[in-house]
Amino acid sequence: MKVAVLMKRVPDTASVFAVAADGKSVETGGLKYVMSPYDEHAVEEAIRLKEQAGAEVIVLSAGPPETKETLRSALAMGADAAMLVTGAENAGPRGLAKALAAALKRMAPDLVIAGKQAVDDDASQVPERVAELLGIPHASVITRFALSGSVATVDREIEGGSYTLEVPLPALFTTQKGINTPRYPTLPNIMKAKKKEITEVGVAELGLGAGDLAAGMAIESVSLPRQTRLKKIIEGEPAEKVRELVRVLRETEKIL
Amino acid sequence: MTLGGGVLLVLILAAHAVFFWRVYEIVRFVQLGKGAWPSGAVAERLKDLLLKGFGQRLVLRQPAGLGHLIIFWGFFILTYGTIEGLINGVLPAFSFAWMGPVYSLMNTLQDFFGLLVAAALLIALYRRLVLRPKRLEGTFIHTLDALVIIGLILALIVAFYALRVIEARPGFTPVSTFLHGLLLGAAQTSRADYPVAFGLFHWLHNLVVLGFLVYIPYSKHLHLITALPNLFLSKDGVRGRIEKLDLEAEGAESFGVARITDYTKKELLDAAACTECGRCQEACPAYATGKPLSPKEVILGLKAHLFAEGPALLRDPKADPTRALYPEIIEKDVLWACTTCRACEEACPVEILPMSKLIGIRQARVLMEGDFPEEAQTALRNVENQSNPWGLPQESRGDWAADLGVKTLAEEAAVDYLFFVGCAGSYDQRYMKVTRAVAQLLQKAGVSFGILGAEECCTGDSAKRIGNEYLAQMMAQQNVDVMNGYGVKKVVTACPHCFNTIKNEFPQYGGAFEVLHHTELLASLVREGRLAPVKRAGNVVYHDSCYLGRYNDVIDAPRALLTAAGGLIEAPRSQKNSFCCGAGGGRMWMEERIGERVNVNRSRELLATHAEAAATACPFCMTMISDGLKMEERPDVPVKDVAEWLLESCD
Repeated sequence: MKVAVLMKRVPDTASVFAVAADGKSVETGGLKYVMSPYDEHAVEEAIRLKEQAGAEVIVLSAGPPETKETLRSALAMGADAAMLVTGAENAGPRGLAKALAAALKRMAPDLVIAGKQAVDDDASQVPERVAELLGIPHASVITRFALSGSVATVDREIEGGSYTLEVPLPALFTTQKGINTPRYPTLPNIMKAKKKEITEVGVAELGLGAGDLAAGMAIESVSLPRQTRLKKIIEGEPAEKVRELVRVLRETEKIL
Repeated sequence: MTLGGGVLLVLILAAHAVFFWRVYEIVRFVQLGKGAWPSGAVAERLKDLLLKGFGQRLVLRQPAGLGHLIIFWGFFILTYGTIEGLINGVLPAFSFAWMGPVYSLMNTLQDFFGLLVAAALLIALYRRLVLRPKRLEGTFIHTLDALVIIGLILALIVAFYALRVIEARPGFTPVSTFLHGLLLGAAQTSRADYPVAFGLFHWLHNLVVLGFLVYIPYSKHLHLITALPNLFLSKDGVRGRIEKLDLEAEGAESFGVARITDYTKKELLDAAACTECGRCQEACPAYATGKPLSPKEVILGLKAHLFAEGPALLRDPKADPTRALYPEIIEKDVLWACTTCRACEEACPVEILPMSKLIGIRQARVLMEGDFPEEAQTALRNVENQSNPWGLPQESRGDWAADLGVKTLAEEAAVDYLFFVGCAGSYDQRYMKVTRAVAQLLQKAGVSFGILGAEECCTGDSAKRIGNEYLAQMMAQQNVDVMNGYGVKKVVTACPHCFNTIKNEFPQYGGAFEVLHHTELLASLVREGRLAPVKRAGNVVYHDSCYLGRYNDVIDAPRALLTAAGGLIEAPRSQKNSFCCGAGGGRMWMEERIGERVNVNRSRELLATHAEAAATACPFCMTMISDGLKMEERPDVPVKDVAEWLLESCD
């Protein structure tokens, strides 16, 4: 069985972010990059499948050449092979999905697993788009995955509960926290990962042109969350204070 | 030769055969360890052997050690007579009388030491049967073992005096003479007067000696054979350093200690040298607070494991052990309870290193299995991503200095000192204040210094002691390269963990720096009059950081500063015997779920001194003692770093 994992290299959310001069992008100079945390769960789930059922795990990503470092982290966790699609560095979710789907078509995996979202733009679109492009079923935000023959049983998390689905393979799933605890790579695996080949495929080779990678949308502006504090102290009896707090949160701050 | 003499000769030969066969077997067990025996530094080793071995310097650090000194020297002195007695039993005409004055002197010494040893043994018996100090507790077999040995030596001494009472020896022998007068009257007697009694006691004496000889290598008294070589071979490596593993070694398949044979020969000798005195256990903060870890049990567990698996391993060194080193011999909660405070290694009278044994196993767990407490995994991932265990942005590392006019080496490299701030000093809200206090004091005294800012990263101390050698090496190398790039010569740091790593481990990465802890530099500034504190702080109890005091002998500097700033109160456990705060060895990043909290135990001790406030000199200690005092509901006792007390008294 062949399992493909979609992985994205994203800035560590602990980094200090600044809006770039154009006002429409993020300053990337001092950023540290990591594997998107939800993707770690996807890699872990795939490797567990490898350990249990002897699956072959291929990690797939599209991004700049530095993405290879992040792919190596996945290899160090125990993935067998990695592929990097180049030429889609500036693509949005729509273009990325096309690039990844084209690569997956060649790979023909029985199962695709991805994180439920990448924590850079939080678009939560790519895996679902990929499934649509490949014409396979998908289930998102899963917290449990079990395989029996060619049918996967998964739990999907929903507000206040979960429901269980049976999905015939090939299919795509996106992982939520709680499905597993990503493993800490062992030294022999880190060393082995350094030697593993990472296949690179250009978008042109996949038959995609500039039009295919178009975003289909334009970013107007990017802004940082407001950091300043109101510094307002609510006075009065406890019950009054709570009423006032709720009123401020609802009416003035529009949080509730 | 008489028939009796012939029988004795056979017994002597048999006992020696058993003794030497067993010793040879143990030597081969110990040789199963990796690598070569330590070598070189013979003069220093001999000095250790003389002072710590024959001089019993480490043993004498506790009052009970005096008893051991007497028994130790008594053993050598009485052995003179023992050898004579054995030969004499075979060849009745034999004696050492031809040695003349030496013979008389030895007879005198034996006469005195017989009594001294007997007294020491009776005290030992009293301690084991009545006082029962916790450190001597063990399994029934271990206790019985000690009693058998005490009993054998006592029997030997009874027989010795009985023989001397019946037949006096040349020399000044007041004890024998007194006993003779008491038991046999004033007239001199010889063996001819009491042939049966003399013969019986002679046999008793010789049989006890031979029995003892056979018993030694099978008992805790194995240390008679192993302790002195262990002391001789112990000066190997740098205190405070965990040796760098060669992770790129050709053909290396495993790292750390997964099997007993992954230890070095010297480490296995450590296990065989244990005297079961329990001083390590008594000093261990994990044991004291109800964790399943006892350094004594760790060493005894390894010894028993080695001796049990030894025969099979001698036949086939690759043989699978019947019991796994981890988690069977050393259990999970034992392994991760260690705070690496090194109290056990400091306490051991024969320089066994229990802590280091655990680090080896941790390395195997982390490097080979990726298996270690989950909370610590978060901290180490953070170190990987942002070079600090909190995972806060690396770019913000120098933010604390923004309004102080402190320059980075990138801005101004020609400074006397690099102030290595460390992760806590850069990110921990409370410890940032300490960092600022240190910087302000240095500025006040006109010291030329700079920081690395965002170019500094974690030294890898926690990673190293959790067992993640790979990450620790990465961090250390990165720092050393940056520091060498700026031509750094002298370093001052406000973190004892950074201090220890930079001082003792960075040289392995090509980083040779002169390192001072901030209290050392500040103390010299006060001495030189560049800082002029006025006594203000009141009575402050000082909590020694393990990595500062016990690891690196920085004991006087913080005390000098506190004395200059106010009044210093000593905690009962202090200086080299200080009690850990509980955060070393990566414990800072793990939950403490078993037993009492180490920091609460320590905080209670500090409170019991009735000090008005507490002083620390380490970010981990600061966090732990602050939390401990909070849990004891004593917010009225403030905790400040030595530098903060000093700054207050300099304003």
